[in-house]
Amino acid sequence: MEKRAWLLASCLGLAGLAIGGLAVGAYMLQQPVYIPPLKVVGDVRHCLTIKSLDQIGPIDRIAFQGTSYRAARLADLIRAAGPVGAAQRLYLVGSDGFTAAIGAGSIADCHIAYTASNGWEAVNLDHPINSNAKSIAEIVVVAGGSDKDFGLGIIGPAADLARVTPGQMLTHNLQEYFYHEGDASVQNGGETYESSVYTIRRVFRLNDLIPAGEGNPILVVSADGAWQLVDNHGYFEVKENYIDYLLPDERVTVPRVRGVIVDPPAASIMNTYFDAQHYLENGEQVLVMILDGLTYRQYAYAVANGDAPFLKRAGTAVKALGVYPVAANVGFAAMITGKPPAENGIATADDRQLHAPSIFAEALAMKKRALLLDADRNPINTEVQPSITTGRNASETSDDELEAMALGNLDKGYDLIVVRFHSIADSRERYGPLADQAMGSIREIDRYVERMVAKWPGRVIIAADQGSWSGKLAGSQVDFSGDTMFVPYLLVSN
Amino acid sequence: MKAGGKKLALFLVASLVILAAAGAALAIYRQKVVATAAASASPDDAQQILVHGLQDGDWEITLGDLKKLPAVTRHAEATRSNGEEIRVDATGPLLDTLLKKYGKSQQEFDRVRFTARDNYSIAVPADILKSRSIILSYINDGKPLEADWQPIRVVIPGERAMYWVKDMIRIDLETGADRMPTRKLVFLDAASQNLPQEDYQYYDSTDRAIKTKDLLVKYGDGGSAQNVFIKAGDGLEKNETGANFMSAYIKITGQDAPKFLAPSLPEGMQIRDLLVVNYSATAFFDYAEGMRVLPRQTAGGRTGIALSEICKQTGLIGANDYMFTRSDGRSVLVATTDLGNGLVYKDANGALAFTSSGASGPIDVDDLLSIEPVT
Repeated sequence: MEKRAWLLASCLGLAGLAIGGLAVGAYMLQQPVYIPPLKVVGDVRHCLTIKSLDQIGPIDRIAFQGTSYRAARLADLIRAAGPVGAAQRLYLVGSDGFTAAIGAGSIADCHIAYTASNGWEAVNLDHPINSNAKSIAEIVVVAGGSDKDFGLGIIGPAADLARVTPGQMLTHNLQEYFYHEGDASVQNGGETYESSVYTIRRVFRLNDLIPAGEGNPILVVSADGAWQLVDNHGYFEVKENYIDYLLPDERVTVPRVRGVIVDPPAASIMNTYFDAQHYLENGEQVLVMILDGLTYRQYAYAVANGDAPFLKRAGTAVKALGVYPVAANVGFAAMITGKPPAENGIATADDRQLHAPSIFAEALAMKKRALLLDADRNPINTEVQPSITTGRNASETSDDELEAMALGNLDKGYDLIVVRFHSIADSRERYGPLADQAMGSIREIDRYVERMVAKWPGRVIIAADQGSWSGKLAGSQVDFSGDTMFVPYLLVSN
Repeated sequence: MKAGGKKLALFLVASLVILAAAGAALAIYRQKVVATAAASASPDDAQQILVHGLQDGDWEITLGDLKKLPAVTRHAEATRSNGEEIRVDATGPLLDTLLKKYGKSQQEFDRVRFTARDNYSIAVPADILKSRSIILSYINDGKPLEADWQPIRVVIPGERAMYWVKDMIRIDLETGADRMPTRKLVFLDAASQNLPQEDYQYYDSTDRAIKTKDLLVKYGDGGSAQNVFIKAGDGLEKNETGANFMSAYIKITGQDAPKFLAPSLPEGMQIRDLLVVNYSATAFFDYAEGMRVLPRQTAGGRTGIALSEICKQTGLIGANDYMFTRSDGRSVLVATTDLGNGLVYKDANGALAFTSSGASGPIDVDDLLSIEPVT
């Protein structure tokens, strides 16, 4: 009996301990314990905000200079962030400003630990001791060189001027700009009290990279298709892995800027819409020939080398600005709506639905007859049903069939005909912009254009959209450059 | 003792089961509170929020009305100015859900100002309106708001706590950049005749144009503007930067005139059929375009545009007296009581004129150039 009583008492005691332990644990969980976040930013696909070691990866037990640490591998952290291209340097930035920079290629010995005394700290077993930064607030990944499908490109009408990445700029000399967030006011005791709130932005000016006149016009284009002409008095704000353009006084932000064009030409591919509209309103017939993928450099080369005799005789094409992103149908949509991708709804190769009326809607509203001829099997939705042609002969392209279809319709009384040729873009992507095959495509299209212009009684707009620059086979991964952004634009009167 | 031990064990097991059941019941109850509070009416539902800038006049919406809208629950964290982090699960309709009922979206506005009962107010700027969801929450962390936080606590996940206005009773939806009140109205038709004109090649036509800079220097109020508001006859409204506007032209003859354009300006930024341009405190109004698109009025055998309509289009402020200035510089002071059914029209010479029959009798001003309220 005594034995049972002791057993019962022990069980009750254990139960009490367990309940008590649970209660204390629950209490502790409720108490806020602040762990400052560790950010991974710069030339990475995914910015990370780490609040616990477990988020990084497997935890190792390491010892360094007599201290034992629970630590995760720095390589795991960087890998999770997805460096763009080959990461070159890693900057371990402490909250006190102390920064250690190490090569990104040799970090097998590098760890990240969290301790109560030092917060996030680097424990690098083989690197010099001064690489063991403490109270790390962020790790900036800097790509080697300039990855051409990431970062910010700056071009002018005659040359590409500069290319930088967010990581490179985060480790550059940046200004701190006190950006006015807003004003608040409240009334208390009959008095009005006001306060203003600011955020500190890390910014640079265009002039920090290239000589550019203050107040000169620049055009900024963004990843989502915004296209904005501003004057050069704003700031480029370096965010975690992208760059915004700020006009603080106007409270304008162009987010995720991918390119800047200095001294931009006034002409753009969007002139196609306005010029066609003007002529239609004047009662004229308009033929628009779109040469998919023809860059201004290709045009100039072809004209100089005798590969575009008709285009040469027809007049000098102006250098017109394209839109961004450079993807299938994006340029075409901008041409027929007169609006940049962010406004017209076609900002990627997968978009199909226009959010702005096209020149076809304009023509229909004027009770004009309009026709769209294309060889694209995945066209965007326009207000007129496109007539799609496909290749039926041995040639690698459908453009010959397209020309035949166009010639058959030029005298059918249409007020507006838009014809879109693709073979130049196809050969450029496969062989390169100045390859013999690409010039061969241009010669062929030049003949088509000549035949069609001869038969058309009205105005002719010969324009190029930028096509797409997947460019894998051609070895070109250029995303934003003078090559991708400038195209020829020509008005011909009959 | 054996029987006693069994009873004790049974008691312990039963206690644990009861505790577990109670915990589960509590969790279910809390879930129900969220759903029930959302659906159930309460006396607090009559609390009103004034909405300004959505329709022609101000109107009020009640908390009960908001509760009828589809609600979301989002977790939000923000940092207070003292560094304290606040967290909340906010339940309520999105501002955009409310606006969409009236065919609008928060992205169409340049600012939305929330004002609390204690007159604390903060304006949410366009960059936040374009990128964030704004929750008009009436439940926080599963519970209705405390009395002094009602009717609504604005919660914007991802944004600083300064925008999380509690006790919110007023929403101001603002469009157009910060526009100054219009203190001077200039008729573009008349002004352009007194400015240097130059040939402007417009497609195949050689038209006439004036420089915007010349217009502002001679007829502006001397102020500068970072944003210029432009309205066209087809209803297009646009803000242009002051810098872009100052370096351009207005084509005053030919097709699409008056047209804002420049050789260096992309065609997409050019605006035809100008009706009103607001630059700083001056509004430029094109009478010819107004005659094309605005209601016409006839008085005393003359047909033109009512002065009241022109004031409405340009935002000219009210005053007791108005200075009517002719192209030759002479002015006439007209009391507001004499404006009556004032009419701006084009006379037999093709110049603009004003006529009204007010308290003091008929008033006629010929060769009209501008009107300024006298304050």
